[in-house]
Amino acid sequence: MRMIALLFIGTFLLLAPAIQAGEVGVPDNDPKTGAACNAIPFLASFMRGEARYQALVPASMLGGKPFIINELSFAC
Amino acid sequence: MANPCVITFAHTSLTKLSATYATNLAKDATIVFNGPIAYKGTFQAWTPIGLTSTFLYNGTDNLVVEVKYKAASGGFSCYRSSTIERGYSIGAGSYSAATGTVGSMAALKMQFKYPDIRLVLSGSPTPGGTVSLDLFAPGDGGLYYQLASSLGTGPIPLGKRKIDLTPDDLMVVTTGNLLPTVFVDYSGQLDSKGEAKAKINILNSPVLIGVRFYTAFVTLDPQAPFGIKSISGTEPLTITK
Repeated sequence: MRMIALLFIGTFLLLAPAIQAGEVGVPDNDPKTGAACNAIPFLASFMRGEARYQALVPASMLGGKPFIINELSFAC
Repeated sequence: MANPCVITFAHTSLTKLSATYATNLAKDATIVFNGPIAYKGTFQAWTPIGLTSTFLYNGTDNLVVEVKYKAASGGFSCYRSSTIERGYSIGAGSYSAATGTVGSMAALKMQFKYPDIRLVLSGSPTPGGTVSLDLFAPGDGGLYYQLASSLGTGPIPLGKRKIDLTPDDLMVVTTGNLLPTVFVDYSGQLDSKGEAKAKINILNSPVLIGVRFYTAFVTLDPQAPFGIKSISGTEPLTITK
């Protein structure tokens, strides 16, 4: 039985592929297009020094599967 | 120049934002970034924030993304979406405002990243309960997989990396399918999307409360070096009352 575990461990030891990331863009994954550009929340002159901002992303845009979000990006 | 910034994610069943920010953050609110940030947008490219914590999206609820930001100068505008609602406050005091303006379909476009090979645990980690294991390996559709659990985090060194599992008796039990009614579907085949489900039926014994163990999986491919294509991250599980 221990051999089974050792074989499993062995497979870990023998190969270490890079873990790649998946991406979900909302509403799409194109950083070069958009309805327009908005200054909130990152343009200081427009938001007069500070901002609180919320977005409500529908589940329908997120693929219907659980996943672990480890990065957030915006496009300008 | 680095500026104060706090980013929070939350689940919600709301289909419209409340003007009261806290209402939108009532479920599973998690701060994923909190600190000074020197955020500079790159023209027509996704610009990552550099999140310092993760958020487990549950696959069913809507998602609230909150950004609180202060900057005396500089910054940039971002592409927006006409299909995602936003709420906002700007000007003095807005960083800590309790309410804001909602209703406009003008939120910023966003991109979320996630580990491509991942294991997600959910359910009831209690004696007599069931924990579901969702395996995701989108690039490995149709391949066979092997799960393993252990009581420790090792680590098992992998050159410059490591696997946080320990070669112990629990690993023997789980990889050897010695308790198939407890550790269910610990080996099998991913579907065409690279997904599979397994589960742990926790024995109904109070002595297990407080036991913590760790789980990971690999995908198998005879064409890959040594027959292993991918290795997931390791997920902890603690049995509770």
